[in-house]
Amino acid sequence: MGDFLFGRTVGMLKDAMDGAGATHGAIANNIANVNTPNFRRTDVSFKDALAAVDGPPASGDDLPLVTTSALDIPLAGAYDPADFKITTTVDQTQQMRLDGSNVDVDQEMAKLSLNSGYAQTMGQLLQNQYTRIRAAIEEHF
Amino acid sequence: MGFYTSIEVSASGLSAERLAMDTIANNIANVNTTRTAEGGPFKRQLVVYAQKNAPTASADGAGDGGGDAASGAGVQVVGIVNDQTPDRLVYDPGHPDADANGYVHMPNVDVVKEMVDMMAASRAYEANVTAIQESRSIDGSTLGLLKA
Amino acid sequence: MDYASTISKVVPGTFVPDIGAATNLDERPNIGPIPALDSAAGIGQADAPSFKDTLNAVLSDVNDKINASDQATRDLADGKTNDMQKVVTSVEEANLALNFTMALRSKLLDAYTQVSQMQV
Repeated sequence: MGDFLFGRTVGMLKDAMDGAGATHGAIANNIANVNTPNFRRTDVSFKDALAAVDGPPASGDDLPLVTTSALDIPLAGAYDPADFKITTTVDQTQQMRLDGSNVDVDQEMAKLSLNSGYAQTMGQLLQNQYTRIRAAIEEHF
Repeated sequence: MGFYTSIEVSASGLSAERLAMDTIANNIANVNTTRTAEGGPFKRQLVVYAQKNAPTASADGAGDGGGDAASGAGVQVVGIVNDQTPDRLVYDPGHPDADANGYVHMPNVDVVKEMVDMMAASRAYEANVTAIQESRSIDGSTLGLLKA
Repeated sequence: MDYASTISKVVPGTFVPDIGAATNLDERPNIGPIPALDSAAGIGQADAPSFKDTLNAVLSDVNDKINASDQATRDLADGKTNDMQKVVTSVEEANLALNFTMALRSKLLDAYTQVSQMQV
């Protein structure tokens, strides 16, 4: 039994933002250590865990509550956030750098930019979810 | 992420790279210094980087990255050491610091190598600055959730 | 909007002028007894979709749009799609559909309140 007010989309978006935050931390650490000899970079993965906790797609008549109006708060299935885990792995591959480090600063910058765009998109979508719920509660947009 | 925010991690990178650039600038300035306080010519200096681990990590020593993967807290400079490669010998018998055979011991600083190191440190510095900017924009968009 | 047949279900035999029937271009009101429900003479068209059906269609469409936008959002979050335009347009369409439904709802409530306050 999960949260009745916020459906599984809100839960997934919150977990996605957690994952993006952890990824940013790992990338920042990799960038700070770009000149450290024999350094091993770390990777964070969370999207597979996110996909795993997502259930089947909701069909039109799949709501447990009969809504007599679209203004009823849509409950697309409660989301249990306990199943989501962020995995951090140490990348042990060797790179052809003389000082033995396997950080490639250009790849890290590209990952940083991608992750930052992802985090902001998730933030905007989450804000939109909250706005919709608030509109249904307050009965105006 | 442990105790350290990602801005602190990136800031540690900034100070380490700034120290590296200062060291390199010193090396280039002293490329012709044949007399130092310790006697002998100037010796090229290197910066030794090591990864800083967060306090909650297993105390695994610095630089090998084998500790707890999730607790990287940035980088720190653990020392500035002298480069032990031999001095450059230049044949100049008229020089006041020439030795018995007429060779002058010049610093083991190679300006070209120093410039390359300077570019690497500068690029790493800029990468850390970009990481801080991205961190702030993520925080900003998170705060935007509170707006209506 | 078939006011005549709607009102005739509540109060049989009441005089109801013919307001806005599409088939009657003449401005003279049509005064006469209320035709039976299954007779189509002069009052709208019997096979036009009723208001109830239209309302149901609109509501289920809004529901579908909201579900589609949530599904697209979840796909973007777990990396199943990288198409941000599709997600953003479907989210915005769902928002607009919800907005439209709420405006519809206020208009209906206003109309109902006005009608219920009508002095008979």
